[in-house]
Amino acid sequence: MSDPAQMQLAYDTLLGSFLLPLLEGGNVTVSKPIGPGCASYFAQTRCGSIDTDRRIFDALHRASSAIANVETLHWPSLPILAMSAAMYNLLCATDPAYDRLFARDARKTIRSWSEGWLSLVSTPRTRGDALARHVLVERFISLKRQDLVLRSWAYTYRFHGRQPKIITVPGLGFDNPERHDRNLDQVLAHAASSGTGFHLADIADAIFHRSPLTQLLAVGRNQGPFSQAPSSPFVFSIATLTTLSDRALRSAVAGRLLVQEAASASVLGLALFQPELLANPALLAIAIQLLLEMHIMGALDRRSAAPGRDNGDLGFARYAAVLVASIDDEHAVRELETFDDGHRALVQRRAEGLRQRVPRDVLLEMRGHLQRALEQEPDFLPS
Amino acid sequence: MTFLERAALHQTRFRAPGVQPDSRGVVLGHKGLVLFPSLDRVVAFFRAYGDDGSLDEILPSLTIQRVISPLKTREIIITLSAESSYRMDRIAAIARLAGGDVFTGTQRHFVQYRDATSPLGYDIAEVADVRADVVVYSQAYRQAYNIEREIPFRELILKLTPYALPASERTTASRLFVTAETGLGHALIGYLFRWRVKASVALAEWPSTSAFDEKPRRLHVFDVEDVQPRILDLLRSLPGVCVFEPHGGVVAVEAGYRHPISLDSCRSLFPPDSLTLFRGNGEVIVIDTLPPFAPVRSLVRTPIAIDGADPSQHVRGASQTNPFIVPLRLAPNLEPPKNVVAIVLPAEQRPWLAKLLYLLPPRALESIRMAIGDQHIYMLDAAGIESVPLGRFYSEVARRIYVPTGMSLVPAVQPAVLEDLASLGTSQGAHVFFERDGEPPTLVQDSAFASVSRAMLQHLSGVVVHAEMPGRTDPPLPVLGYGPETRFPLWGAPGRDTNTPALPSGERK
Repeated sequence: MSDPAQMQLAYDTLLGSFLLPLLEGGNVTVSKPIGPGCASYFAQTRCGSIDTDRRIFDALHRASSAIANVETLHWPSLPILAMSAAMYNLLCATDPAYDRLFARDARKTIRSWSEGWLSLVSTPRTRGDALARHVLVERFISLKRQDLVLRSWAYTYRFHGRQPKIITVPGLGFDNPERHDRNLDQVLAHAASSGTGFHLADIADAIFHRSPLTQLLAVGRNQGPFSQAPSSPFVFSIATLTTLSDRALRSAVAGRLLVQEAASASVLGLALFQPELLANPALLAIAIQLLLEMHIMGALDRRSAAPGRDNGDLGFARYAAVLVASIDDEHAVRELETFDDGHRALVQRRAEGLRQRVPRDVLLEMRGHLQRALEQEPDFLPS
Repeated sequence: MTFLERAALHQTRFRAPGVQPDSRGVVLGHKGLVLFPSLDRVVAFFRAYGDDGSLDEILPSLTIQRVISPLKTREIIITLSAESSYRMDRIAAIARLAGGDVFTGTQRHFVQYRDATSPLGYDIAEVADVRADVVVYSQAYRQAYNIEREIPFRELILKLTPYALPASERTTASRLFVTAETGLGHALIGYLFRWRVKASVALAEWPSTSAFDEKPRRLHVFDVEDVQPRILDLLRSLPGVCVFEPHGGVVAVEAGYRHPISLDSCRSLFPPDSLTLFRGNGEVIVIDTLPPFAPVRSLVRTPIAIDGADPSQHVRGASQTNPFIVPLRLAPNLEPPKNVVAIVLPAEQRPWLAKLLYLLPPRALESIRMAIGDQHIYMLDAAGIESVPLGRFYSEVARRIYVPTGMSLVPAVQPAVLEDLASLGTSQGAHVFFERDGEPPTLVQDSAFASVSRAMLQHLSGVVVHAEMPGRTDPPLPVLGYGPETRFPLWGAPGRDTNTPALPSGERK
């Protein structure tokens, strides 16, 4: 077993040198990897600095509150610690110093350690947990590394994420240092293209998928945050549906997806008819709630016309069919009755604008699914 | 020293006056007496008794009296008809639970009721010769009391404040009473009728208790059934409207509250032709003689014009020589106000408006546009102008056409038609205000309106000081850096012993 003092030092380093600067901004430093054998110790210990704990909590809470209303966050929490440790190890493995002899095999071990840490992270249990994960992953993705290249007539020195060890004197070479800011995707690609050719993007992608809220908010983008990770179409997983079952989070997701509605609508519409969703009306109801909320927010809050899209896009047709089928069914969204006439007219106007873009077979299919979802969830938009 | 003797089986003569053995041999007088040290214990007794059974069975003979001892200590006694030892057993069990002592007797002298020590009851060792209204004999003490005052049970019930129920225990009854202040009553009638809620309404009236009130107090009382949750939530959130859940047909407690004493168990306290409503804040509304209820559909205001044209006249085709011209009229409507974006206030209220400008929030000052005429001041705010509590509110019925809030233009033509009509007689860009029915509208040029913050404030001049922008609230992006290089990076790494972490019990969630 590891020495408790050593594990406490690792815990303090993880929070003080990695997690805190990651959330507050500044220099994130990674040095010695942390094995998952520390998990049981981490689960019970506290940081040696109360100020660090408080500032991490403040940063998580402040960033989370900007997305959705949250009373409080549970900190320290094991999912956040485990994700942090997995990120920390992943970043350790991107160190070009590991290309050396005797150090190359360490990447395999570190990779397995990251997987071990991630195995401790399950579906978010609370709104605060989902928000905190999203904040953490979002800051992780925004990491960048400053690389410095110094050239003289004879030598070229490269410093990746480290301060140069040589003194540059003007007039004695090294007059034009090259500085490159690499984002995390480029850092991972750089590690993969180094001598060992070790790929880490799938671990980064696994970290990304541990935050369902981040997944949902990235729906409209063309690809995931890591270009080297295997790309797969968006699906409504249990984790994302659990997140969407929270009304505040669903509203936050709907509001943000509306910024790029056309792209999001196409992806969500395609994901709506996945077999796992159709087999369970309760899950289907949650997915339909999201789409319906996007429609209503689009009609009421933005007061904009329905987005233009080609009729051939099946995903968008299904997205539009959600609103048209709901309006057609008098009992589908009873809360529409509570809208005053002006607001209801806006929603109906949007539905009529979309009706001509929905093929008849898609509409009939959606009506059937809507009926089944309604049996599970009679109050679509709880007032 | 003991004041009691245990009663024996088949004992027929007792020193305690007015007691005798019943069919089971238990010593019993005509009355039972329960002695409580304070009023809250009395309430606890009635709560427990009401939850367990019906208070109605003891109410006819029940009296609650505050008594005072020779040492001037005040206590509460409850006397009631003993009837049988079975009833007294039940009363005794609950009373002891609530902290009371139980006695039995007939007139002045009451001996302790039976307990586990003496299953057949007690007799008095020596009758005390004291001048008092009530003398009680217990194993531990003998005490004489004089009655100070009587507390009617109904008065006790009315004085108790309902307590708020936790959300998990709240239920919604299928039938509800709703009270609304008179100003809201007709709007609520229209609302309930529009949403087809099965409801009837009565107007309750009773003289004011305050000498400062000039009019009697009036309240609309609604009896609604099968109301939808969304309507119920709306009613609960409306100031001046209160929702009550009935307990029986004659008493109701505000929704979300519960009376400390089970009202279902003491319905006989409330007359059948009355209605008693308990508010959550302790106020009790007693409508002594219930007024007649009428369905809301009978009371919805229906616009009828008696002086209108005879509908039986023959219809003729419109012609150029005899055009059919109808003036636009203002008519009240029952719809909730919307698009309240304008205010017209008389010029004499100008000083009030000046004071108000100092209080308005920056957003309002930024968005309000104002035009000052000879007789009126016109104010516009496209985002809603309800925050200005002056003048008369106007709603925008079509672009740049305003009518007083609560009114609408009839005939109810499309907004586009109104805009066309307004543009015919005016230059482009005028705002049209219909102020009074039958009078031509007022036109105010759009160029006359200016932002309050620009138009009203005097020129600013001041001393230039050095100031800097405060720090950004968004945190800067993190920058990755590596620690010192090591030859063997995993040496000394913590937690490398096990790859499958096992969490101890009491793990951090």
